[in-house]
Amino acid sequence: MKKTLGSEWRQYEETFPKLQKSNIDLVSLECHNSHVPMELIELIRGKKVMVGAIDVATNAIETPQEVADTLRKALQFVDADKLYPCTNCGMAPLSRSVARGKLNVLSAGAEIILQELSLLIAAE
Amino acid sequence: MTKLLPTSTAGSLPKPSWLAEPEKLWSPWKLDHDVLDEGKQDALRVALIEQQAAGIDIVSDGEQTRQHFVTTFIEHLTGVDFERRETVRIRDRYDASVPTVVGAVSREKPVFVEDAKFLRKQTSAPIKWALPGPMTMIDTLYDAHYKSREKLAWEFAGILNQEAKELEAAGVDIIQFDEHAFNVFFDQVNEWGISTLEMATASRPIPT
Repeated sequence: MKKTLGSEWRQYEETFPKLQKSNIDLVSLECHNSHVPMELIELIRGKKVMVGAIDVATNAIETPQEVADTLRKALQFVDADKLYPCTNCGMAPLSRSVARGKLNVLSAGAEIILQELSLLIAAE
Repeated sequence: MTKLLPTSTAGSLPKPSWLAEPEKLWSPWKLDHDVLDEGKQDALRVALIEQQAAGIDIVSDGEQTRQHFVTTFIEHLTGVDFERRETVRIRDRYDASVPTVVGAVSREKPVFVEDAKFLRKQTSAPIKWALPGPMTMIDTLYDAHYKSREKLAWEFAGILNQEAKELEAAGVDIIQFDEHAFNVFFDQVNEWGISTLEMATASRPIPT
């Protein structure tokens, strides 16, 4: 089953299936504050995905909950053992203190989801 | 990797102000010669410590030894003249004065392998190393030699593959190819972008 996401994203709908069939095993995507719908990740199901949960184009440091929200949404399309929480892009243009803050919050957000997953496993 | 949800960064980290002016792309080095080499290694140590202090699971060099993620790699290759500049449109978005491909491109010696060995010595954590992808490389050059984006992309894919294999041998766990141009030239991605990237990544020959 393949949903159509509208003409705006049709180009991704043409390239992602080819990426899905390639020998590339890990794909990195901007997700937080991205204009591209996360549903597209469904088209590369089976690949490991580096999910960008940190916007590098703003000095505002995300909250751990915001990072967790992005990762939780990505988990609809990526299996937990294939999800790699990540930044959207490089942080060289940011100040060191902002970059440090964003690194910390990436870990804190991932930790929230790890806790939720371990509760799920414990409940089973 | 045994840990679920291992965290990492997608690329660079800011450089210390004593190495290069921060918050700036293309920032010039503030040190010279041997002192610069030492400074880069110190910056790499700091970048590693910052990542570990933040609980980042898959660490990188934070690109502390590079001025730019594409250009620094190309500077180490033969066949590209950095004095001969032409203005081209990059990623279909902005015009820039870029170096010219004047002859056959080749990698005469490893580019980042010594840096990777240095990082490997500092930590037992998994290491990720970023390289530019073939399509993103050709998009920052004027090609006066091959006169074919696809031909040049295949050449770069071969060169990247040599570098990637040596990085793996130096103990790098994940090699990341940055393909910013994949969001722009969708037709070419399907025609040869993904195939050239596969060639760059392949640890062993791709079955045909």
